[in-house]
Amino acid sequence: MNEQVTVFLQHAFNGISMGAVYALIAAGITLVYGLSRIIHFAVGELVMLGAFIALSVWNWSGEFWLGLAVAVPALALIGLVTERAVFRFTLREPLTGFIVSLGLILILQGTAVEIWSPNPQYSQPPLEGSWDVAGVLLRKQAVVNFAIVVAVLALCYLVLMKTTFGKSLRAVSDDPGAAALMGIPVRTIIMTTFVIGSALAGIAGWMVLTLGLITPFVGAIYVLRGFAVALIGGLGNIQGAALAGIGLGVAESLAAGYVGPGWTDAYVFGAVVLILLWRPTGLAGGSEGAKL
Amino acid sequence: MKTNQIILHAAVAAALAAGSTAVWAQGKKGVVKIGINETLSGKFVAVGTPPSVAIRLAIHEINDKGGFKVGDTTYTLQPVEVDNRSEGPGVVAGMTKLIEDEKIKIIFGPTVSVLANQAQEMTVPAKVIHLSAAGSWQSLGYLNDPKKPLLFGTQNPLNALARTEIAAVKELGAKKVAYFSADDDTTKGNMGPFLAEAKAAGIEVTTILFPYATADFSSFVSRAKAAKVDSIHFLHPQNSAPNVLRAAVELQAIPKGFSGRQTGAAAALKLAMGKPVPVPYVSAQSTPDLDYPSTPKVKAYAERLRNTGIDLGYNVTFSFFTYDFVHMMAAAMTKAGTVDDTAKIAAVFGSMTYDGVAGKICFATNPRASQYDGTLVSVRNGKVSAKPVPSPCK
Amino acid sequence: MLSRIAPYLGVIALGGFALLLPQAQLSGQVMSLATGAVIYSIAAAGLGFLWGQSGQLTLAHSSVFGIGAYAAAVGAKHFGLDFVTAFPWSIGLSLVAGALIALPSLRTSGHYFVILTFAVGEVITVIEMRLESITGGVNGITALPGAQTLFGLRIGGRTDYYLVVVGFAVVVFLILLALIRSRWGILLRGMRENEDLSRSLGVNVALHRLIAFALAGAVAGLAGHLYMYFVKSIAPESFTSHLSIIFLLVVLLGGKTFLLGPIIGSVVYVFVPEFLGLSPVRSQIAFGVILVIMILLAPGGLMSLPGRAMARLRARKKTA
Repeated sequence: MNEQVTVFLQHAFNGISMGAVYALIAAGITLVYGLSRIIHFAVGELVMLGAFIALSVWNWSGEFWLGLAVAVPALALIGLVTERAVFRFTLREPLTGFIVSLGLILILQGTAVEIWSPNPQYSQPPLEGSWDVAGVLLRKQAVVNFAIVVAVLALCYLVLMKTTFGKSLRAVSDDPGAAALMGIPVRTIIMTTFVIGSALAGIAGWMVLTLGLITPFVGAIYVLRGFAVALIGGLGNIQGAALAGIGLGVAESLAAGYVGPGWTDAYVFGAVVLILLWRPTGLAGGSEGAKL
Repeated sequence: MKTNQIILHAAVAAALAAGSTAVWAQGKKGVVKIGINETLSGKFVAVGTPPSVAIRLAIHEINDKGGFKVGDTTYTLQPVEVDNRSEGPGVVAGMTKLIEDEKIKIIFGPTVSVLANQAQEMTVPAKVIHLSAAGSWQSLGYLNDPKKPLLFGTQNPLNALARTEIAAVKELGAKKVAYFSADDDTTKGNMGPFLAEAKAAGIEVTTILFPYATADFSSFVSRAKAAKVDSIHFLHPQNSAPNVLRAAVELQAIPKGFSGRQTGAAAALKLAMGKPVPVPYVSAQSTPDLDYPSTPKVKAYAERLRNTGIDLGYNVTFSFFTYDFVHMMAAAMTKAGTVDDTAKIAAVFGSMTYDGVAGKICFATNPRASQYDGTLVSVRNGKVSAKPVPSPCK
Repeated sequence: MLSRIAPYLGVIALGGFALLLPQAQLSGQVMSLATGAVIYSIAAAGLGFLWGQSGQLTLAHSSVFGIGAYAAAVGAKHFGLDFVTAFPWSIGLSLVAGALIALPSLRTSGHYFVILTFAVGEVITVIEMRLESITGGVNGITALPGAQTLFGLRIGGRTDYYLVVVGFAVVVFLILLALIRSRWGILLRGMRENEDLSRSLGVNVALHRLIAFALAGAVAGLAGHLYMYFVKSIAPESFTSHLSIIFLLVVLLGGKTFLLGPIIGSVVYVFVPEFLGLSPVRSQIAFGVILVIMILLAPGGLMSLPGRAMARLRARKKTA
């Protein structure tokens, strides 16, 4: 194969595997927003917590995969607790929910520093090396991560489209009032999406751990990208989030591979600004913003 | 973190009080206060703790020996420490306390560049002797500035650091190296000297800069590979080095191996892959290495640091940014015959050579940066060897 | 008559009290903290005005504060401006920045707008990091203009500068108070409560909102200017959205509809961790908890509590 093509494909693959993590986080953001209209800004901290919980379990048990098995239910529980303790009181006034999530950022980040110290922590995932596919090196861990994301998002999609639960969920998203009249337990469904959204952040956290280095401040990187992806994909739209996530990952990777990093962040956030100006409620439409 | 600090104080005091048999000299006695303005909590706690612990260790040692003589008076040192919380306003409030309330004439820290830049704005007009390892003091020209004669850099001059780094690259036998570093001012200050030294050594360099908070280095490593380099040299942030190393191994980008500044043997032995990496590795240290001490003095010092019971973590070598300089300052005061004429003390301090733990220590003139022993720590097939890089001081 | 001027007298009395504080022979550290608290309260007052009166929330407030600080620093470093001559630039640029940030609010609303301001703030941070020749990049910019005085007070002096800052705070709070009590204030609150109604009454909603944003920006820029001459060295790190969240917290603590809320908020924010000996991490957690509790249980802030307690007492008396 032409060498330049190989290099291009290498960069593209590098981007896809990172983009998959963005997609996962964005899917959680999108689900929570779609039902509760709450911008849950502490999602980066949930990712960070997922990573640290997985790391602790791994250090304790010596089993890297057990970290994933524990981080997901642990984060689901955190999702349940935060919804029950605070977010359910903010459903009438979604902006209040947003401010609550800002408070949660301070709380969760500080707690992580207290528990795990502010120092960086390393991980050495056992799956090492890479597969050589026509000159393109696919890092094994990245391939596995990508496969997990595809499986999880496909499952979410199927549940959403094919099950009764999914139908009720979409009904609530479209019109909570009408859904309630039809006997759909709106509050329970909203609670469930908080649990699912947090669990997705837990998986993403484990994947961030597989990258090798975590600190309690790592959340900021992911919340910004997660929201950029969710907005580009259209808040409330899972397929959109998946595609936009991969797109952002590949764009970043190509920028890193060919151009240099300098203004990457500015591009990402510039895109968010422009999209919001062009389509005031995100690309795929969605609801009007709540009144302040 | 306040409790941590208290534990820290107690640990140092307890470790050093044991076996303290101070023989107090007869005659007049005095106390000289040493100010410490460090990041003892907040984001940069990992940077600020080792220098701070080392200062207090040195002060205890000096006092335990009965202090030092200036004229016919015997002085002991008293540390006065403020925690700037890794924030600008904390630096200002802390410096206000040290300079105006405590009237202190000798201050260490902060080590973090951005904060050290702020700090020197207050110490310079107050005519305080101010020491910090901040690289920005060199790259911004503060240490060449005749208007700031009391600032002293406690890290090697940037071109000396670059020479040690090139020695590491040569150790690998690399001819075409990718220079990896975060895209920021620290890099800019260091890159020029490195490129100049590389050119002189006939080594071709491709610079690859990445955003400071990069998580996945695959794309940057792939870029290096596409440029057909034979090795990677890593500057900073040191925390990310193991991450880059692993990506480079898995993407088969570095046939000749990997070198880094101050990245330590642990990165290659354990942190990158959980086991020794399968490529040659060299860490260019601007300080002696504490895990692989090159002299008995360093070995004994590592032991004393361990005895404090405080885990100084990955940045333990940052303790060299302060430890010897406290001893050196006491010697300078003795020689200058004063404890409060800062200009006089600085003149002696800046021109003397001190035989410390980190070897022979003296200050270069332009910039006023200290020179002391460095180390090349190599890891091959899981075996570590350390080679000292002696300081040029006589 | 008295009820009309009472609030103004209150601000002046509070300012007078603050000016007398140095007589208490407080330590330099306390004076430094107090100076920081007053500067924060000015910046937060800008946000409080915007949020409380016109109902608009922005997470780019810290960036605008930063623009004021950078204008003062760049002016001193590269253009030889001093404390006084840099003011038109720091206030002017942040006023324009504030207005520019308001422009998107004409198209988006609610939390889409808040996310947008967040993204704008991030872009501004990146610009500050990249325009190294002007801003000094990640290391930031250090500017220490020579000895300067204002009305005989030394700008570099600890106590003197505290007095200068308090003086500015009194002026800013008096102006904001006058605006809140003016017809324009009533108009803004009308827009906040019912935008469509205001529009149908012929109010140019867009224009007034723009002016409110510009005003909040100018106040933030003034505070940023004071901040720069206080810490003397600034970096992009200092002005990220984290600081906006702190401003939000300060406003919320005191109460967003109370002019003096930000003073209470920033005094609590700056001094309480110091008195309790809380580490930054612990105080971060504590303030996170306080933020959540305040927004859920007392969205009116601490200042609203006496009023609410009174109302409850009165209600109880009635039923009794």
